[in-house]
Amino acid sequence: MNLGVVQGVVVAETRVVELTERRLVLIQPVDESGAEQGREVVALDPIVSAAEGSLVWFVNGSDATDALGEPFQPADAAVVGLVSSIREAPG
Amino acid sequence: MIIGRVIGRAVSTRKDEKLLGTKLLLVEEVNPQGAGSGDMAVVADHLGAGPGDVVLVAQGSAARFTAQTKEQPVDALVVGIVDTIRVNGRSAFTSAGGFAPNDKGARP
Repeated sequence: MNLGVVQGVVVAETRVVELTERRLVLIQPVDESGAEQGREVVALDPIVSAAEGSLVWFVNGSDATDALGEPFQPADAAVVGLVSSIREAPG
Repeated sequence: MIIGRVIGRAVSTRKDEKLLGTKLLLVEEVNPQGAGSGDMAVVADHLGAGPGDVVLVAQGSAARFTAQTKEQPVDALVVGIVDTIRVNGRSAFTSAGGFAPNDKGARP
């Protein structure tokens, strides 16, 4: 899983019918210190309805398809949780 | 998914027969401000996207989870044509007006 900050929302009304989840969010991947990691991705957000600025975790690839459940949707990224806090393990 | 701009069409006359009737587009990845990353992909399209359209592209096995692509050897598919992008509460893109002016290297 990956950490990311929700930057915004994407609307695409013309879409393949199999893509039934409406909410699409724009995510900037970050590391545990908040530093940006790579390019923005667009992910489905079926559970959390994360607001802009929220720190979330998301999954990529076929894990995203699995997370969204059946019937499978043609999506390769999905938000699966809102991050409440991060603590580094001692040592 | 990535955001991409349709920059052309790929035509292939000799191809896997499962791809017959499927339009293939040349798509450049762009950031939410409209700047191209330089990365290109050939992407299957059943939505009718055309040159200049900003699209959402699903990659990998997700591309096969539609009725049209489930039996096809494709790893990238247009799953949506983007109407609007909002970033940090501001409009960054509309299909009518294009990308908003910004300082991150957009082009018209």
